[in-house]
Amino acid sequence: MDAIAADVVPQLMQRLMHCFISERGPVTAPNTNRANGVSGDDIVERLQEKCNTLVRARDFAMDAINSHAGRLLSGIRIQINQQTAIYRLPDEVLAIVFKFTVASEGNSLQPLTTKAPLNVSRVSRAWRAVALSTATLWTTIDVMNAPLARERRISVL
Amino acid sequence: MVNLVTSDNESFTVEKAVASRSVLIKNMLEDVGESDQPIPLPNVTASVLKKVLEYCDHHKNEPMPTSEDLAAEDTRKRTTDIGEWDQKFIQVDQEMLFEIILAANYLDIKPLLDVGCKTVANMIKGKTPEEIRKLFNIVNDFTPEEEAQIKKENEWAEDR
Repeated sequence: MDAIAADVVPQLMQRLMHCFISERGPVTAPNTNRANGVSGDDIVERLQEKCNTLVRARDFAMDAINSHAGRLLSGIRIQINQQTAIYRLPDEVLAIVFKFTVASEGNSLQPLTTKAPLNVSRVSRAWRAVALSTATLWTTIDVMNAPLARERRISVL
Repeated sequence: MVNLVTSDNESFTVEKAVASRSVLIKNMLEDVGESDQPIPLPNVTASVLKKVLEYCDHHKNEPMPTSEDLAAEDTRKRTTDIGEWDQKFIQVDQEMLFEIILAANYLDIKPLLDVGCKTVANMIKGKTPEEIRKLFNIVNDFTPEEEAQIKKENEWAEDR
């Protein structure tokens, strides 16, 4: 494992740093006031720039790895969910279940975290797709959830 | 009498009034007329059909929902009330519950489909997404980006 990291990570960082340096463009010529060519301030400035580039490359690499791993994990978890008993219900049947949940007694008095259709739309990707594509679930716009209501209203229009 | 054959090749001989609670079977019987030919049900196993027929037998004398009833249902507020007998009937494990719902959907038995869906709705009612996942063994399959988007949409819900 260490060998893979030692092989892959330096290459990745090198390439990212190269990209960031190219993106930044040519650095201005160093100050050559001193007899030996480059001043101490210039050296510090260059090293500081190198540090900044390295930090940017590291942050970018970590974000990219997290994002990629997140998508891979999501894909595997989708397959896990497809093996559950409730996932055998077709979308149109799940939509009926959601309609009954929205219409159930006391639903309108629930806190937003447990209120349908908000709660079912946050369970999984498949449930969210069914909930968001079932227009009749969203006929009552909850003013306390303005962002989602606005999004649904725009997509209906 | 009507002869029904399940996917696991078991035969059930039932009254026409019972079998006709299924719109699918009712239409088949009307199409083929009087016949001794068994009706194959390739999507239903014997254990599930037995339960479905128990429901159909109990409700055989009730009027079938008309197309007007079904149309009106969409416009009036649905409730999750379930009759006393139906409640006892549907007290089964999750696996069987979903099988009954699938069979009711396939056989086109709207009242049974509603009983099944209402039962699942009552299980979901008042639960957080995490509690619902736990109940049905679902795992959170959102990507971090989707999670962030959902959190943003529901930011007002967090404190309420």
